[in-house]
Amino acid sequence: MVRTFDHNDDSVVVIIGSGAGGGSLGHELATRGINVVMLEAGARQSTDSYVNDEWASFVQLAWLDPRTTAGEWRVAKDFSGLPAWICKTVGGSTTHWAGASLRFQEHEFRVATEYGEIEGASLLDWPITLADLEPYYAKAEDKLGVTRTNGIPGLPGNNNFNVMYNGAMKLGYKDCHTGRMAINSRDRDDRASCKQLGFCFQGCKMGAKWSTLYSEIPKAEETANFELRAECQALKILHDETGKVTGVLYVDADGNQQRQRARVVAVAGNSIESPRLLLNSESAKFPDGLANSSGQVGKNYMRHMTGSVYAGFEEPVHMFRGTTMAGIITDESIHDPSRGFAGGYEMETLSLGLPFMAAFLEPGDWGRGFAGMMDDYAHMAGMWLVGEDMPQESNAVTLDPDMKDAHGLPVPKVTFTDHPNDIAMREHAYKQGSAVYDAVGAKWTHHTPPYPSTHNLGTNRMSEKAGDGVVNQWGQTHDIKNLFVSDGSVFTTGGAENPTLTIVSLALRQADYIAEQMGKNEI
Amino acid sequence: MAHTVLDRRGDRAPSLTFAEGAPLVVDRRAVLKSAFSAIGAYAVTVSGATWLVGPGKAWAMEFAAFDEETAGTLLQMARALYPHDKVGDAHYATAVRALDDAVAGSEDKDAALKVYTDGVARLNDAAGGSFIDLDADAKEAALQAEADSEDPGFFQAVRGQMVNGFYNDPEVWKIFGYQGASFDEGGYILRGFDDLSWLPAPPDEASPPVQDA
Repeated sequence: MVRTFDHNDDSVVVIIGSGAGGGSLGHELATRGINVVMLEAGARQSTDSYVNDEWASFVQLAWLDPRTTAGEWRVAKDFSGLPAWICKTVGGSTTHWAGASLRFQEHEFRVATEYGEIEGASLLDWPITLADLEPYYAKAEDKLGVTRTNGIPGLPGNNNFNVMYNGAMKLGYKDCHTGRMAINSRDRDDRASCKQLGFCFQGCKMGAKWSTLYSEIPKAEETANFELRAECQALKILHDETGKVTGVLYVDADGNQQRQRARVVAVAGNSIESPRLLLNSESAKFPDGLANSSGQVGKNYMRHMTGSVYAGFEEPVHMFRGTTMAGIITDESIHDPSRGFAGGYEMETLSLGLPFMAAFLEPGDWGRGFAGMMDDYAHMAGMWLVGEDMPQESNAVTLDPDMKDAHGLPVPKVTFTDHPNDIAMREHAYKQGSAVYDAVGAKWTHHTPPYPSTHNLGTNRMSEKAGDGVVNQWGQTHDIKNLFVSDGSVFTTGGAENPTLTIVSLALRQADYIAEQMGKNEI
Repeated sequence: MAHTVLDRRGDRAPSLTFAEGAPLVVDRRAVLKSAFSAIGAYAVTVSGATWLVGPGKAWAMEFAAFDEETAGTLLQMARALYPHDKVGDAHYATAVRALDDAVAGSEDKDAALKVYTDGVARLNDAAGGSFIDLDADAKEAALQAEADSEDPGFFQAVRGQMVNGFYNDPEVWKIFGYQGASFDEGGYILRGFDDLSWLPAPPDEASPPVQDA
C-alpha cells in the first residue's frame, strides 16, 4: 500500500520534517489526493522501540548533531552544544512533547497593538486573528483528541498535580485542573488510554499521547499518496533561474546524495533547522539564502520564557508516577502590566526522573546543598513555568562561521539573550511558583534555570508586509510562491501557550491553501 | 551480608573472595590511611592490582589503571561532590571505576591517567597531606579550588561521571525512591500515581476519576 515516488517526479510536494507541522500537513495533503514525499532526518521508531530510560531515550530521540551557542542565556553556559531539546526521529518532537494543547488567546495574535512599544522588542501583530484560526483549532483538537474538548474527559491527576492543586487553591488561584492534553483519557482513534507510565518525554509506549509517528504518518501512508523517507537529511533546497524551487538535495540513509524534484517544497524542520536550511540553500541568485530578501530568516528567535520550581516536602510525593505534565494553573497567563511585565505565563506540573533531576535541577552544582535537595527526591513536587518571551532581532539562528557538520555544511549557531521583560516575568513566575508550594508546607523550594529549549519559535516569522518577515499568513514565503514553511518558526510572536496545537492548526490551514493554489495552478 | 567481589568487567570474580578469615594481602599504608578515613571503604593493593574494598569486606572492586592512592582519593572526592549518607560506598566506587575503565580503554592511556593522578596530587597538596582526611568543609573548599581553576578538566570529569553515571544507576534509584520504568507492570495507574494522602484529593472537575475506576 505504501507508495514510492521517482526522484524525477516533479509533481510531488516535498515536506522536510515529520513532526507536528510537517506530519499534519503531509496527512492533509495526501488525504486530498496530493502526492507527498516526506524527508525525515531521523530514524523510524515505534511504541515498541521507545525506551523508558531517560538517558537511553535521549540518545535515541534527541537531535544531537553539532550546534553552537552564543549570547547571555544560561543555556549557553550549561549546555553549550545543546541549545535545544528537540528530536531527530520520525514524528519529530511530537515523540517528546508532554501533550499540553492550548489555544492562543485572542490578544496574543496582536501584541504589538496590545502591548505597545517595548524597547528592544521586535513585536509585530500576526497577519491572522484568533477567528481565522478557530476552525482549525477545533479540527486540530479533534485530530489530537485533546481532553476537555469534544466531550473527552480530563485525565486523572497524579500526586504532583495534587500538590499543585492544593497550593493553587490556598493561594487563591481559580483555574487549576489536569489540563487540555493530547493524551487519551479514554481509548480513541486507535490509540489506547493513558496508564500513567511516567515517561511522556521518552515517547509514549502506550501510544496514548498523540504523535504523528503513529497517527498522521500511517494514515497518510494508507492513502497511497504518501512516501516517508526516514534517515534522509535535507542539505539544500534547489531552484531554477526564475527563482521557483524545483526540488531538494538530501543525503539518504546509505549516505548517498539524492535529488528529489518537487512542485512545492514545505520546510518543517523546527525553528533551528528550518532557517539553517534556507540559509544553507544560498546560491548566486539568492546569496543571502532562500526567501531572505527581508533579511529576517533566522531572526527573532524565541524560546519562551521558561524556568522550573521544585519543592521538597516532609511527606512523600513520588511525582514521577504518571503523566509528566499532569496539570496547569492558567491564572497568570493574562496580560496584566501591573505585574511589571507584558504578556503572561502558564504554570504546568513537570517531573524528571532521578537521572535528569541530577542533570537539570541546578546544572553544574554539587556539594551538600545540592545533594540535600536530591536526598528529598521522592518527596519533591515540580512545575514548569512557560510564558511569552519578547522577539528580538539580535536573538537569531545563524550559520556558524567555523563549524561544519558531517556533510560539510555550516552548523547552526543559536544566539539568545533574555529581554528585560523575560527576566521580570521569570522572577514573578519563580515567586508565584514557590508561593504555591509554600502554601502547602514546602520545606524548601528551588528555582531551576531553563532547560535546553523545547519551544523554538519565530525564525521565519509570519508578517503582513514582505519586509517584516519571511512568510505570509499561509506560511508561504513572501519571495518564492512554491516554497512554504510549516513549523513553529512561522510564529510572529510566541504567546504564553505550549505551541504544538497552534503549529498543527496552522498546518491544517496551510493545507487548505496549498490544495486550493495547486488546484488553480497558481503553484 | 553477601560478599560481592567484582573484577574489572563487573563480573563476579570467583578467584578472589573475602570469606571470613581468608588471608588477604593488604598494603600497610592503606590500612593506616583507612584508619583515618571517616568512610568505611578503602583502597588496597593485592598482588599489584588496585582494589576498593567495602566496609566489612562486603564488596571489592578491581581497578585496571588507577593506583591505590588515586582510586581511594577519587572515591572520597565522589562522595564529597554528591554526599548522600543513605548511599553506600559501593555505588560511589562504581562511578570511580567507570573513570578507570575509560582511562584503561583510552588510546593514550598515560595522558588520560595523568589527568587523575595530577588532580589527586593537587587535592592532596591543597590538603597539606591527604584529601581523604579532610573534614567536609575543607573537602568542599579544595574541590571548589579545582572547579575554579584555569583547567577544571579533572574536576569536571569526575563531576560529569557522577551526574551522568552515579545518578543513572538503577541500584542508586532504589535508594532515592525512584521507581523508573513502569510499562511492563501496567504503568503507575494501579501502582500509586495518585496515592498521596497528606493533602485532600482535588475535586472531580479538576481531576476526573480514572476510567472504570
